Amino acid sequence: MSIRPIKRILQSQPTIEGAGVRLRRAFGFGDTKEFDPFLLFDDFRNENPEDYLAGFPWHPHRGIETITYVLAGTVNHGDSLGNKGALGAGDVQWMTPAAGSSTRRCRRATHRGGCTASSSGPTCRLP
Amino acid sequence: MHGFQLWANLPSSLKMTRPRYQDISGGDIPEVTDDDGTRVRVICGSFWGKTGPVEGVAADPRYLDVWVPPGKRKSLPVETSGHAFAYVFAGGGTFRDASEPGAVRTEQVGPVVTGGNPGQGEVQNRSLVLFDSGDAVTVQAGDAGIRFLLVSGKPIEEPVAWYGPIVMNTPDELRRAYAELQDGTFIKQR
Repeated sequence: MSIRPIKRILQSQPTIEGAGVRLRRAFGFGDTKEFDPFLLFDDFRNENPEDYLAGFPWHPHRGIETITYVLAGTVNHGDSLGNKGALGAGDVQWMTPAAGSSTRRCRRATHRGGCTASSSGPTCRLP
Repeated sequence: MHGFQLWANLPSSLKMTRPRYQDISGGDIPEVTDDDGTRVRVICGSFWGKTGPVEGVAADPRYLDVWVPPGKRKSLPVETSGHAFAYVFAGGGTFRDASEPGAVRTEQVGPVVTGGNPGQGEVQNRSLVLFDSGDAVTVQAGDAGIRFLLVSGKPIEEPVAWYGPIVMNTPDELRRAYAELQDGTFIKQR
């Protein structure tokens, strides 16, 4: 057995995405060749509900697949194919937007009373 | 609220494939616990005889959620022909080459090493460890144990033209995608 040596250690960096969601991105900036076939990895973990209330309005995707794994809270999701659902703790979602679909995600903290993000009425739409 | 999103690239032959979607309940994700208390949830790919429910991802990744109890040392097999990384999200520990135990300090409080001096320092919360080639990774859990995602996949090795949420092979394909967004022909199936 040959143990893999460590090539590099990176710390995930604070990043703002979607409609102002604060998250941490470990990679997905610039050249990601050494992570091929992976392009991006985000850690969305927020103690402050205001950091993610805005969610991710409708946005396009093409050419990738996404895997979303939820440890705590709830992620509401919808796409232009009419799929929608809520991911809870321990759930996973796999999506192949491929040729082109548009998706949105709103995040909700069920483990904190009283803070819910609206999952209705996307703030922007694709043409 | 806590979760992760990973983007996997599609090879050129599948960039324009039909969109697909799969929600998987946590109860359908197999979990396996070793004698020493190490617990692995298999989200995608196969590990210790279990196969994860996420199937059909073009990059054929393996995606594991691993917990190693405090003080335990564990070697986990990783397929040889691929890139692999670990993302630590609870506790801490060290990932190291068993043949070079002196290369790693086991306890370090404060900022994690970013680049340079690979293998130094305890890897803590919110750090990503990118591994070089080999067929296993070794982890020594710290006093609080360590929980991390262990993700590996075979490189696609194609050119990447990427802007925002759209990733194609060539700048022309990228321009076409954004032109389709403008003229309303981007979404192929509704």
